[in-house]
Amino acid sequence: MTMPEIPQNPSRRGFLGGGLRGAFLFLLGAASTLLGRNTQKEKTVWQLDPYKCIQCTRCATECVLEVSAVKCVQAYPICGYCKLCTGYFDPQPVSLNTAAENQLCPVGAIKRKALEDPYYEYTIDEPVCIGCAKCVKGCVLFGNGSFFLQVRHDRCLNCNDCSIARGCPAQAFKRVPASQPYLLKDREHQA
Amino acid sequence: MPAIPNNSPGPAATVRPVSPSEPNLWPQSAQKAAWIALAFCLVVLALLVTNYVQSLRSDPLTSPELATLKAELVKNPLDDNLKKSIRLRDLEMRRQLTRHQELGERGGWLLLGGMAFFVLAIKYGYYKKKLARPDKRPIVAVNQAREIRHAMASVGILTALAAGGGWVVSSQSETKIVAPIVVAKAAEKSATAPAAQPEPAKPAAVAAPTTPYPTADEIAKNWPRFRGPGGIANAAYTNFPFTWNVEKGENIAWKTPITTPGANSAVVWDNTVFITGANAKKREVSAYELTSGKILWQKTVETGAPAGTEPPNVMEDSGGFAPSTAVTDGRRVYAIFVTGDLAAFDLQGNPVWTRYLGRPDNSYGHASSLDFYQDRLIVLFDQGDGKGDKSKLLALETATGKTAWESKPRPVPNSWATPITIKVGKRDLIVACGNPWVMAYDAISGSEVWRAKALYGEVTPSPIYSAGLVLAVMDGENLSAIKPDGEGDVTKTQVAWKAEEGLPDITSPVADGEYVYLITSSGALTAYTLATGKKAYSQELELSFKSSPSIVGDRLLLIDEKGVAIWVQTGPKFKELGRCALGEEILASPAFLDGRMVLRGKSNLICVGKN
Amino acid sequence: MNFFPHLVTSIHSLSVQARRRLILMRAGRFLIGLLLTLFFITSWTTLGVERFPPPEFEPGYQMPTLTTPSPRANAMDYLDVAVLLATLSAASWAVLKTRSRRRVFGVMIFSLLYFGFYRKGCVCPIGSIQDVALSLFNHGYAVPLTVLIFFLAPLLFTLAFGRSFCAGVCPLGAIQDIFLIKPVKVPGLLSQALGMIPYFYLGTAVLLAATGSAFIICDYDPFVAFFRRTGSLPMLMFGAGMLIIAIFVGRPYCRFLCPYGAILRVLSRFSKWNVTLTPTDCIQCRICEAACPFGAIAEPSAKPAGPRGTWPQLIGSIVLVPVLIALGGWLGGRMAVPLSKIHPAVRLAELVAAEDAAKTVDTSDATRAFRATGRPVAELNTQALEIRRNFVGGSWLLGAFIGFALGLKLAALAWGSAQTTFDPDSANCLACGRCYTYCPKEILRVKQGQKVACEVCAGKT
Repeated sequence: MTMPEIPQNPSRRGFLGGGLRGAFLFLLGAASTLLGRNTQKEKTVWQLDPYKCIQCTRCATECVLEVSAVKCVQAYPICGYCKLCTGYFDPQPVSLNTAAENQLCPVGAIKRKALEDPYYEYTIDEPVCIGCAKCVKGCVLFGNGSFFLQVRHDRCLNCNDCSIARGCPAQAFKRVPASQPYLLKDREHQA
Repeated sequence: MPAIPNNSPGPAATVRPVSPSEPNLWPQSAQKAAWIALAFCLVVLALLVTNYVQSLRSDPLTSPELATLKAELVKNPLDDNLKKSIRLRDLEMRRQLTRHQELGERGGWLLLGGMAFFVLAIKYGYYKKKLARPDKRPIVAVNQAREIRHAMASVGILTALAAGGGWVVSSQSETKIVAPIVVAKAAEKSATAPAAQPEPAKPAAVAAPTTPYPTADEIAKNWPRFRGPGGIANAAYTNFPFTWNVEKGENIAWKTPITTPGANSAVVWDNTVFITGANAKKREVSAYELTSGKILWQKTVETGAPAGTEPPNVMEDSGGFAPSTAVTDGRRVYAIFVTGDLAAFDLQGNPVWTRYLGRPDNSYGHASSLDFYQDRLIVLFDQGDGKGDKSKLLALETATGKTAWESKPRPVPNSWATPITIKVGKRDLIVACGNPWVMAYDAISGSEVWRAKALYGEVTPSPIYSAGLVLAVMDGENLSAIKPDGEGDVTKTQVAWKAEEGLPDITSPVADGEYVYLITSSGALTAYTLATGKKAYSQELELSFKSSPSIVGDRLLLIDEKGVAIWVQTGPKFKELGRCALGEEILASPAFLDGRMVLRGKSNLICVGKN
Repeated sequence: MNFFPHLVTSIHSLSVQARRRLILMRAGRFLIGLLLTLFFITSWTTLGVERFPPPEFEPGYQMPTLTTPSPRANAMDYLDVAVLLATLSAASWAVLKTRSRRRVFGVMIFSLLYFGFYRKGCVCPIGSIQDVALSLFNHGYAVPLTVLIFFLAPLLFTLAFGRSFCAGVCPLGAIQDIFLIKPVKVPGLLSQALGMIPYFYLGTAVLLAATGSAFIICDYDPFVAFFRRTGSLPMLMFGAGMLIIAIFVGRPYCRFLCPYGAILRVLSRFSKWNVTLTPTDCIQCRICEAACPFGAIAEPSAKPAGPRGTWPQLIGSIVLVPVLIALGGWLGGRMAVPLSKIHPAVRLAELVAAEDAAKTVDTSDATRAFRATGRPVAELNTQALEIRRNFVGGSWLLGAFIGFALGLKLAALAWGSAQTTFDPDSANCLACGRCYTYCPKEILRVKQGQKVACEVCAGKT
């Protein structure tokens, strides 16, 4: 039995096809050289600049994840350990205790622990936090600004087009190198 | 999910190649399973939708119910029932939130699984291999011409739709964005009309500004610092007379005697002109009304130096005790003196803060002028002989005088040039000259961005920035054009060109975007093409200069030490347009405002303008 | 200003300690009141200020640290590249060498699980078009090497082996392919028109990416919400709609929307190897024509060669090309200003300008945030006008490109010579391999254990 074969027909069309294929290969080569000059080995990830953030609550709602990849974090060295924490308490708390009516956080994600008098330690319960920035607003406006939002990279899917970045009114989101994935607040910058 | 058993042989069995002894029941079961899976999917979907709607209703972020309860509690803080109901509602809401999240997560998986099962089952259940049924239609049967006509018509309709859509989009109304006033552009070739378009009529009493620092628009309309906006001595206005007669008072708006000496230049904000003056005992800041020349206020600045501090080295012709030009951001005016005393006054003359920086270790007296960036006052404080980390660049909060940042010690000895702020890409840099480094600092953090070895000796001419190049010059070294987008030591990489003819030792260069002009103290005027560094011409004027040159429209203004103003055409060829005497010794550089030019002479403050 | 009137108690009735605490609290309250006042007077920016100096703790206190979980390791991105190359090779091998639908299907399911459900649809060649466009026109954005490979590798494979990427690697294709249950033929004239949409989409996406305005391909990816199992309601509905259509119309996204498919369609016309049936043995049974759910196998022409159109169509289509380019360019140029609104900076500048015109402030979060930065309006306007200028050139080119694509399509319809065999049309063939399982000659060939007559395996060019 002989092998059925496609007729070898070096027609005009075939020749033209070969030529154009070559041209496309050349084009792709040229494009990759051109692009090669503007590439980086390292990938980038999304992060938000806490100094640009205006605490608009969109981080909680715009993320493609059900519970946002943006969460509040606490920069302990900046924190004043205030007894009356304006990030923890409602603007008009009835009393300074952990009862629900006094708390600012809508999901109760901040833990308050008494230290030596008159200091209190505030910790974010990250799995509970929804990234709404209410506490951030309270802390930035009246306190030291030690609460701030960050994209948490254990949760972030690193979408090519971050949908929070698209909705951010302060344009606080940017791509940062994956080796330095956080834009943290520090005391030097604060002062 | 196990397949549902079915006893009756279905029609699907007939099309499957199975052994006749045992009929294959699987396809039929699969068919039923598929429909059950579909129903399951729809139920899950419905649950998910309900869950979604409910989660919208009980979103803790937007809950109006809790907000009302809390507002009520503020009114009745002792109502325990209210507290209890808030706590209950809060707990309930948080529980619901967790439940919604979990339900959504599980529902998603269930729906996905259900859909996968449905697809698999329905494909298996209804899978029917088409057997070879040769279609004997002759191939020529179809009317190909009609087919192509139809295809072309459909593409044509699509084209029409696209064009229509494009038309609708393009017919949307446009929100006008106004092109901003750009100072560099103000040097456009119109000699009389104002290049910038300031507000037609200024209100008599300007309301106090509420922002912490002025916008670029505000800065462009004023003359806030030594050599004006950007320190580039490019006038935004050209609508003042180019000839005058001081004796007859022709085209001299006013002339007011100066009480305390100083070599510094006038700065202007809205309707107020500021100068400083000092002698060995007294330091003074004076404000004049721009329209009339009337003195508005004069305030002395007490020194913060401890008693017994040695008086600073001062050379009378390098500016005496007040060589540094003040700076104003329209909120306050700031002045620095040879003693190292800094002071801020509000525009009404009320002292805001003072600060003593320590006695400057400077061989002729501290002379570098001030600059500001946003709400920071920039002070170049170079001193000593380059050893012992004495020189630094400071940024102070304009409101308080507190240090906002301080650069790392500068590796340069004392210098007399004034720093400038430039915009490179999205970044603002402060460029400061010293021997031998031209250094750029990040304006926000004060960290060094780049440095280039380009200077020598007692650096006095200030740098300028034009057409994307930083120009730094000092007699004895070079005129260097540095591209500002480098990082680190850029001596070998970013210096676009160098030139070595006609280098000044006191006056700063000026550029009109095409050419850069240098005037030496002994009167040699040299022009270089900005892009290439090629010399355009050099001309001996046989006069002596201390005042730095300026660009007014298409004219170059040079003012000699004896007070002769020389107008020169800008461009590749030297062409003198005229001279006009000011009648007294001039060391300072002029300020250009709407219809006015303000110049500090040795004994008078002179305002050129129609009277 | 007293914020806590209910707390006012008689200070004398308390113990010393409680009294001290109360005084502290009152001091705190006073401070807050002061700050509030200051805030309202000076409209404080959002920058944090150290208002309460952090305490000096006694040595016993261990200050917690802020955790910073790392993103997915960079090396894992290279794993993605390796998987891409492997699946591309496997899909090409399955389609061309083994000619097995089952194997193609297997690779496709693997890709769906890996790129779709494991990688959640994000790193994909379709979206990489935008990264590449942005980095070409904006030197501030350097495209990661892995993304560049994701963009280029399928193109090179297509030039060699046809659209094996669509067949076995793309998770978007895979999810639609699985949902294809009851294929319906799309009438030729409709599919010709719908087939032009990907070029519109491609052009628009490149313009918007190159100007740094938006990544619309990612924003309007219909299936990525399924891969993540969460997403915005409109996108979930769009995706569900597409999947329901996909039950009846073979791969609607791939054929009538996908911008990457538009590039692949052009390239695969000139690919070295393609899916072929056994032309010499064809018995013209027309089964493959019916079997192809993507309309890639069309009835061959009766005329053996030469253009299909009539003379007026032939000449008309040539004349139309420059006319359509000019019209498109003109319309595109007109659309520059409205299109530029998609860029956030232009949108912001327009909002600010509208506020200034109406002498209001803070009508939106964006303008409030902008004014809080103290950035001069002039600077924003300069930036916005610069972007608008870019858009003028860009949208002119976009219009001209669309006009050119439409003109070329018309010309191709008139001038193209029809297939002469029952073979898949290389441009539209998604290399799924279904036709292999239907062609009676192919089935026979497999049964008899013959070697394949395909060129790849024969080693011929």
